[in-house]
Amino acid sequence: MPEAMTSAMPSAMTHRHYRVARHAAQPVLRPASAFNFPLVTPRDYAAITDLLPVGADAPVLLDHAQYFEWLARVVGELRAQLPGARIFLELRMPSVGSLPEGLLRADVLMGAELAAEAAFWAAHGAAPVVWIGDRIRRELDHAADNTLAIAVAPPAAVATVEAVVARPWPAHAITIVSTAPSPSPTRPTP
Amino acid sequence: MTARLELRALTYRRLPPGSCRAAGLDEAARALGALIGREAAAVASDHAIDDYVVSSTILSALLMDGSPCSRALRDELARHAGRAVDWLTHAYECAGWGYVMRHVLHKAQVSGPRTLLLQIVDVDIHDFTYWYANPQWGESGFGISTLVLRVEPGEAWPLALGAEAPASAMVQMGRALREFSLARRGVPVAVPFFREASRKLLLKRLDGAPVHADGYARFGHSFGSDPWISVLLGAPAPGKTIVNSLALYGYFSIAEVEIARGAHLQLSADA
Repeated sequence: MPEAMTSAMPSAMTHRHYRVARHAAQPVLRPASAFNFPLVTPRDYAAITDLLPVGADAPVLLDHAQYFEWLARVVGELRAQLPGARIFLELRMPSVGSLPEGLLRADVLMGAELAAEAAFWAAHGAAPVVWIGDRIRRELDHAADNTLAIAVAPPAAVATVEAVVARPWPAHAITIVSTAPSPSPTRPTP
Repeated sequence: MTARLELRALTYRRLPPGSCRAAGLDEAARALGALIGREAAAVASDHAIDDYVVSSTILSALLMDGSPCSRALRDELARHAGRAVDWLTHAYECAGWGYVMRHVLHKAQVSGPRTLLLQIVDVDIHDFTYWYANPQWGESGFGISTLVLRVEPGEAWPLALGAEAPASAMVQMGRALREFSLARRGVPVAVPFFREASRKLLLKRLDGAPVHADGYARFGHSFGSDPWISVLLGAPAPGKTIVNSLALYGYFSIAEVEIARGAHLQLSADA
């Protein structure tokens, strides 16, 4: 059974933690969706049960497509507010469809364990650096808890990034609110 | 000055479907970590590595999400490779190697030349039937490519990346590949392994450029490793070569790499 995920956060950058919650003031209609991995043989069905988390109870607030649409909006706004910024997205695949063009540009890097890459640019580059690591639950086979962490350099850019990220997103029916770090969402950077 | 991507080592190890499948996911992750790490150690010990990156299309999400399973992979990989992997990605699917090169070229611009150890790993620890074959790409092949690249910064980059709608990606990439190839006349081209009709469509646009061997019949579509296997199939001489991959969701990578004199080149098949 998959346990909770933890990601290292970039050192020498300012960290902030958030919770992603339902924002139902204005309903958003979306077609129902579910990503069903194609299962063919009995062995496939046995294998998929290994992936299903037990005890994860966070609601799915964004499905895969909605999640990447929202993320592309975040990136677009960061790009507009912090020209030249480098953006690191610690994200879980699959995408289940082509990613928005804005996420594929050269100022964005998507992957896992990107803390050291973000720290490299915070140390070497003149432009702001934003690292985003989320545990937004997009599917029931995903043991995430709808939390989000960011790391920003330089400190002068933190308020701008917070203003972009931590607010209601009515078009996506979510709101992102500041929170103290939960007991074990991150582990120390090695 | 033009940036350079000098290939100092290139190996591919083909693996049978279901490699590393085990009773428990952590055990499977450790088995895969050991396999990847051993492939890395076999070529990287002769080089001072600045960046160590793993790119994949089909690796389980559980191996790249900070879960205990992904830590089991990382820890075992580091134990066998002699060095921890810096970062991993499967966001860019089969075109991932080009996006990794883009990032390291950026770094080289501020830090000076860098040595990149890049592994393209396509092994499914869950052994889902889905990955064995697909109407979109045909029969699949599984394995690990290991590259050591000297990345030298410069103004013009020998790299073209694109993202097109999946339905027209093959045609659009064909155009980009033609343009890239025409600017480098005589440089051989390695294209992805697809069924004959797709391959013909792609090669038709190349205007007679020399082409590396097709490995589809022997290896199947091996995700991002295709062009690298293609290069190895021809016992390549030192010099320039063009490599190209296309992802299911329409992303593509085209690069010109220069095979170094004395480069470590090896094609191994466990299956």
